[in-house]
Amino acid sequence: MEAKTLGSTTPKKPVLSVSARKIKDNAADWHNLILKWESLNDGGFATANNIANMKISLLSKDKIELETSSLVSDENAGKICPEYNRELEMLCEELQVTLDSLTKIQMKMEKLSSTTKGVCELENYHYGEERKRPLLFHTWPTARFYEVSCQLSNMYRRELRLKRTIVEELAHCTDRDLTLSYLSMWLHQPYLESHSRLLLESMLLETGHRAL
Amino acid sequence: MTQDGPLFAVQEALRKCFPVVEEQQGLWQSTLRDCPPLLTSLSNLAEQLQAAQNLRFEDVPSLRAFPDLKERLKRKQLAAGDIVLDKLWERLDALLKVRDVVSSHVERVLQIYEQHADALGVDAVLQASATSPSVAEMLEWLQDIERHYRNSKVPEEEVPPVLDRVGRLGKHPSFAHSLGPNFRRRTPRPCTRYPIECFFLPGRVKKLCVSLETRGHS
Repeated sequence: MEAKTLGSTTPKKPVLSVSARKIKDNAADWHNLILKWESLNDGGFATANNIANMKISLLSKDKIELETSSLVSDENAGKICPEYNRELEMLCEELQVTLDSLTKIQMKMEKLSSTTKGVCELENYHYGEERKRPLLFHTWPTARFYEVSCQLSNMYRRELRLKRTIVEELAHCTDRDLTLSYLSMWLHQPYLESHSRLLLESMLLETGHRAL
Repeated sequence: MTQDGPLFAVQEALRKCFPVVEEQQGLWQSTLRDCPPLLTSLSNLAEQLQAAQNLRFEDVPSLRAFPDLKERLKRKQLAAGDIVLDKLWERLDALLKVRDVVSSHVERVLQIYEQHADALGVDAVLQASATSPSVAEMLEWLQDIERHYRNSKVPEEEVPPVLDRVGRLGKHPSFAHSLGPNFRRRTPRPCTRYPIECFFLPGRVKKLCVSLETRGHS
């Protein structure tokens, strides 16, 4: 079998089919998008934390002013409203920018799922009802990639929905427990289930991005 | 000359023991220094848990669209608490190890002293020199040191109430005994042979609680 080729070596890795290459790229994209999401989440948490702290301090300030002014005279009673705060406004804009970036990432995630679905449909078109289909990598049938993509997409979609609510509500919240809970939600990302990490890693392992 | 042999043996054992104690004290201190940030983050998590428990999510209009949110959030908070608790158990293990290492070295010195006690005589044991304290004094110090580790603060046997729903806590059934008296060591004996008073009192188990600050952390 040893063909003596002079000066040239054949690549050790078999050339991947177009579908396999697409799936492998998608897996890498999943990894990168999730990393980006995490770093945006950290940045967003810092902003949200500042908003919450500022809001709490403004609330206590308003309360004190309200108490003192009601003692002095009743004339100002109608004028008292929470002071417009430029800094708070800026922080809210910052958090909105973070949310927009997260939204873009989530849209890209949806796209990854839809291209994976496309690969599955292409395979269905080629093999029809045939049970025996070649595996693209080691053990996963192509449909498994779509399942995993969908599961991950779902988690991030729901998480994004929650984050949007937090962004909308945080600066208007007047209850300390609720403010703290919003922050906790942002930090702990309750809709990203713990097995999402496992799903991602197994996809990376299957596609050869992670060594066995 | 007959007394030099036993005295030398005991002094030699003491000489070897103190550097070990010094090294272990370093470990003890550095381990203790690791704990406050962990306890702070644990108390912070407890505060987050409590805040969420105080709320009725169904009464918050913006959260009505997330019916399972409260449970999910709680699970995540508890999981984060588990990670911190695991790190604390590691520190606790390190402290226990220090206690045991010190105990075993002190025990060894006392054994050597016991072996030679008859040959030594009380005078030699009480005799200090310009360069060395008396054997009796040094043995007393060692026992004080050992007692110090045994009597040091230990965690509460019960897990802080807000964290008691952590599923994995079962794997830490009890850790209160851990820094308490080391019952594996030899049983106390009458102290007639020791030049110093030595009671192997079981260490009093002081309890350390994670206090919840309801205000101040935000």
